[in-house]
Amino acid sequence: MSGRGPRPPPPPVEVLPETEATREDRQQIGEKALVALCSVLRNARSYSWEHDVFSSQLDALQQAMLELLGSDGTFELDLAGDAFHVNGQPIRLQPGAVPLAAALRTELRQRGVTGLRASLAPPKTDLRLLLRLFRPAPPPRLEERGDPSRPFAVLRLRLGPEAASTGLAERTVRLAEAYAAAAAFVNQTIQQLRMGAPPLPVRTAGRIVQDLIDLQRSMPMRFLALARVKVEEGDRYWGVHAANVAVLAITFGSRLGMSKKRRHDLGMAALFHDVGMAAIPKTVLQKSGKLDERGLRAVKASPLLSARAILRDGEMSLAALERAQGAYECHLDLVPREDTVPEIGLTGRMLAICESFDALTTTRPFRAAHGLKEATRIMTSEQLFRFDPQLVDLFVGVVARMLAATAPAR
Amino acid sequence: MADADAALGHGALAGLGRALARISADPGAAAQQAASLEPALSGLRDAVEKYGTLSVAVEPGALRFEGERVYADELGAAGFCSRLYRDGIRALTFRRGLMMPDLLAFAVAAVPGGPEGEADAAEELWKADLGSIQYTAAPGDRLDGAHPAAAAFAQEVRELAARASEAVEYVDADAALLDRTQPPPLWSEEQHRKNDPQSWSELARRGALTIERIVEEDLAGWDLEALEESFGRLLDEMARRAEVPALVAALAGAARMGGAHAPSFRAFLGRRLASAERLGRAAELATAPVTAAAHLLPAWTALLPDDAGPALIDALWSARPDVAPALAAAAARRCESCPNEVAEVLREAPAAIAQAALAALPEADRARMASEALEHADAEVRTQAVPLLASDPRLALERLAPLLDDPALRATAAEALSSCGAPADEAAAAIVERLSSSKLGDEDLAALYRALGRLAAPAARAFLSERLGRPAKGFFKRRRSEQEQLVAVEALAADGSMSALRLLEEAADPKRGHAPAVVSACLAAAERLRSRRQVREGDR
Repeated sequence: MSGRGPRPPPPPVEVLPETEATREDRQQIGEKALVALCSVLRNARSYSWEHDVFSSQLDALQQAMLELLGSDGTFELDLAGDAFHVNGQPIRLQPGAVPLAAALRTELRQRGVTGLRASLAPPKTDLRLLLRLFRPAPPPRLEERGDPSRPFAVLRLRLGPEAASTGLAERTVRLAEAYAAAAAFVNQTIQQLRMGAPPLPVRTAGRIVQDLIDLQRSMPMRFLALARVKVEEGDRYWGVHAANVAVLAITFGSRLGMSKKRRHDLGMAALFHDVGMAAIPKTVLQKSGKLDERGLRAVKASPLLSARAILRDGEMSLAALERAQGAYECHLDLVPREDTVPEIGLTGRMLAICESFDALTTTRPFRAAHGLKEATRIMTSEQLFRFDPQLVDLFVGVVARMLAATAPAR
Repeated sequence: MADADAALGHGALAGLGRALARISADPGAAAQQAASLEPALSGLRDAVEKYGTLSVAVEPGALRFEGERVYADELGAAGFCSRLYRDGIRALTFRRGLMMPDLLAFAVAAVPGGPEGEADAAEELWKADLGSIQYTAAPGDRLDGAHPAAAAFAQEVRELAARASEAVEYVDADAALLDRTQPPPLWSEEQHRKNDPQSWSELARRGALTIERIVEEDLAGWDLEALEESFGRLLDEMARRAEVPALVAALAGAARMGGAHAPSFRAFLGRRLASAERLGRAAELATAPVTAAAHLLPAWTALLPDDAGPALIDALWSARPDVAPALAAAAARRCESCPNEVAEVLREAPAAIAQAALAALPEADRARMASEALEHADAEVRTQAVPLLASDPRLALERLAPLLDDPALRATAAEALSSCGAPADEAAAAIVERLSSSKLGDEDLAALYRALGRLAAPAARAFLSERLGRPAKGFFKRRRSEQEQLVAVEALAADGSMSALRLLEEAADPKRGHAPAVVSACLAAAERLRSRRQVREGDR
């Protein structure tokens, strides 16, 4: 605090008459503010909101806001239909900025935000908190001052009627349903195959995996937490196991930076990787002791049986072949045998890791579940020969650690 | 919307429909597709610029805008509207920022028969992730109510969703933690390219080997026929994409595949590979500029059934000259199924083709079919055919004896006659007849004498003995006779019988008055024969 005593009140803002020149100025500054906001949004998916990478963009945004506050006495950014208005004036954007503006519009709508306003110069901390709202996992509730747990000092949001909830609850329900659909799809597929009945349409699995990938993007931690769902050995085990492998693989693929298409391939291969179990008698699958020779032979054949269940459909697209080969190759060891190194694609190598991790952390008829730490230790020591060492390190260092962080608070 | 505005939307969407219909009818290259889409893009951009967004409903076989049908598929169920509707797409929305790459990607996903075949259009659009073209789809993550498993599926989803909700709701939404989940990707673009080449060819090759392993390990079960069909489709797709190394690997794997079902698998495959269209494609691919191309036709034709001869002959006449010999050889191996056609090849095809066919003739038909090649205009073909006649003694005697008059084939024919297993006296008589009536050069003389010796027939020995004993007369004739005596000595040595040995010993007697060279040759040949006989007796 300075010791000079209270400041005199600021002079009233002089409102200039609206002329073509002021409109043009507003257009330029408004466009600058929008472009800065779009750039912030673009990076908000890749960096922490506290990261220095945002400094220059936030400076530009702050500068534009200050100029508008200086000229119009207020800063009001509104989303009206598909257009952005700044201080009541629709802002034209350069063609190159249109896709970014469309993304900004979508993000604002998803959060129920229809506008942003400031009547005083916003501090940098407010701008940081604004950018925090654009994280992939937004706060569960928004108010006029943003996230109630970290409110703005100066900035204010204008919220649409749907803004009371940012859709988190709805998305969580969708997430649980999509996961359940994935597990149920696999269980029912195995059931149908056992009965010799027509299999479930692959297209349905495709849509389920699309949902999973879309939901992973918007709530990665909650998504990954689904891999904690476990069921005891029984009819439902294989479906839940496959769904967990899909969750782990999609997360792993996302962290590696794989395209949506490749993550879809991974998710599909994960769902189908154990459908060959349909051909193995339940007595073998549920046996708690050591398997006899017949049982061992049956289990050993299961990867080829999974591939058979996929390849018999006759679909020969890249995605279908990825699915079949991923399902088969994920069960192969990387150790050369009879002088030949097994050929295993990236899908197979990634699924092998996710599959083993889920199996090790699940109670099976022949052993209790291992903890996450113990499972990763086994994978990086005793079972290392089964995996691509580079990938298993990345998985353990990133995905397994993320999963550990989703543990319920004690 | 005002009439003029509505007309803008109608025109843009109708233009899009027409452009996609053109692409459906003739997919062509990306450049052609872009040219087809250019007018539609311009119309759509005008419309979205005006309205902000432009939405159109998708119906079975049609597009509807503002309640009016703006485009109808002429192709009916095969058109793009039907495909979009079938795959669950109910509305399309075009937004500002629409550019050609997005529209092209949309066309690839929407038009039937794209590069990935009949994929799900909704899935393709979802994967394309187009910012300026969005779609609304019917829910597709549930089973159709008519599916026998629909009720059980729905019940299981309800039960598992409750457990999944529990797992999710306990997640601590700590802000810092959530932020840490979105750092930059772990792999660079280069690492992705290196670790994940996304090659259809590689995947297809491994897929084919997987099917072969399933069959080999007798795990195909009830799915054997379906797997056969899949394998066939995989080969078709490899051929369509000109993936020659993958094709060769898959065919070679099928040929060496073991297991109880392997023969029936190969039989199915063979029938499929023998179709005229596929054989034609194989002949085309065999000329591809890759190393594996040289192995394609041998690997392909090895799997064809015995009755594939006519198809091979058809393919052969339209194939390039450098690959036709491989087809001719494959046809010749199956000549039982097309004897007349193979005979025609042996008589009239270009020399390289006829020679390839000759070399591949199966033993059972070898002599009969090879005799056709004796009519070929090319001497090398005829020469190659002559030894093949030896496999049928009766035919050999009938067809080879006249060839002893042909200076080009005489030596080869004599050699073939000596080894054909025909009655030795008859063969010897034929040779002796030519030796008595023709004037032969040194090489032919030696060949015919050698053949006589190899026959080891009494008539042959008598002739050789007579020629060996004939005294020389006159200076030039003496030189000629001495030459003849020397080849007779070699022929008797080739005869190898006791009678031949005696004849040689007698001729070596100085009292006979033969030239020193002849005497020396007789002594050497006799010694050689004796030692050979001793070895043989020692072996006993």
